[in-house]
Amino acid sequence: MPLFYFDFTQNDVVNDDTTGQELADLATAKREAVKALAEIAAEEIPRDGKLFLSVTVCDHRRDICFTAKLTFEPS
Amino acid sequence: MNSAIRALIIRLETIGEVTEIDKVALAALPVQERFYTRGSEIIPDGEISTSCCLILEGYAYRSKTLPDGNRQIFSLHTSGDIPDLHSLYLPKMDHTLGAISDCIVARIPHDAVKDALMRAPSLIGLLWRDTLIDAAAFRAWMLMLGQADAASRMAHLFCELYIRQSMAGLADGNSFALPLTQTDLSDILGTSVVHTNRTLQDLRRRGLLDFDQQVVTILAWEELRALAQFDPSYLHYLDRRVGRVDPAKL
Repeated sequence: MPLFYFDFTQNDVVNDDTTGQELADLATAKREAVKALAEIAAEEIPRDGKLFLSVTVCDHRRDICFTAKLTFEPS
Repeated sequence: MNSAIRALIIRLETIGEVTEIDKVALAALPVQERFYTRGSEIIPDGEISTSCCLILEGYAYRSKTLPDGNRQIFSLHTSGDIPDLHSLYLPKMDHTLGAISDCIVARIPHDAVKDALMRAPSLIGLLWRDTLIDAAAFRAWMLMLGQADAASRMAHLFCELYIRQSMAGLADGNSFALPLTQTDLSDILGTSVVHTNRTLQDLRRRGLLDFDQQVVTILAWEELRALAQFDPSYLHYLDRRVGRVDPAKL
């Protein structure tokens, strides 16, 4: 199975994936990335304050395949 | 005595008194050892079971799968556990018992277990207690699945397994075997594979534990336990030290 890397950014903190994850294909990797983003948002948003989250999916060569971003701005 | 029965007695002695009569009755149980490769089903959902499965080596799991293919793992079982003891009275499986790693399982016919209970009635209370503890563990897992964040949930799983492996004599200092893939782990924790992977990296980075998908090493027990909000009372060990001291010293 191909290897994908999932790099996350949370507000200003960049969290690079050092190990990667073997998944069936890019469609699965995208689905997993979106699910993870939603799960992290569900945990982080109730902690209060602004939240910016992004996930970037890279292939085994570290070429970017997909990016998703999420912003939460309570007023 | 068969080594599977010996493992069962070790397990039962951690939760209650096992009399000589009980041991004689258990030792007389006919067991048929079978090997299951990792990923195989031991007893599938819906099947009518005619024997109980006593785990001798490796890890078994119980799970159910939704029609869309999403699987939830409810529990893990290792040497000395009988994860389908309930099949004695509820023979139609309402979930799957499977091998999450390569497993050796001793199958004990239901009739033989019922016969042993007739010969040693004090076993009834002991096995009932074991089943009740199993239910208590489900409540603890449910609480974590429904209410805890991913890091606490993962920490709780590792805390529970460490205590159980220590009590079964299967931990080596601060380490124990846990041959699980990240997909297995995510099906236990109810999080996506990517979030599971990220959470594991977070626990590693905090220096709480190490896990290479084969072996878990606890690096900071008290911190891990605090993160998990882990109180092992639900495991109902007779030894009241469990949970109050470093389990590595048990």
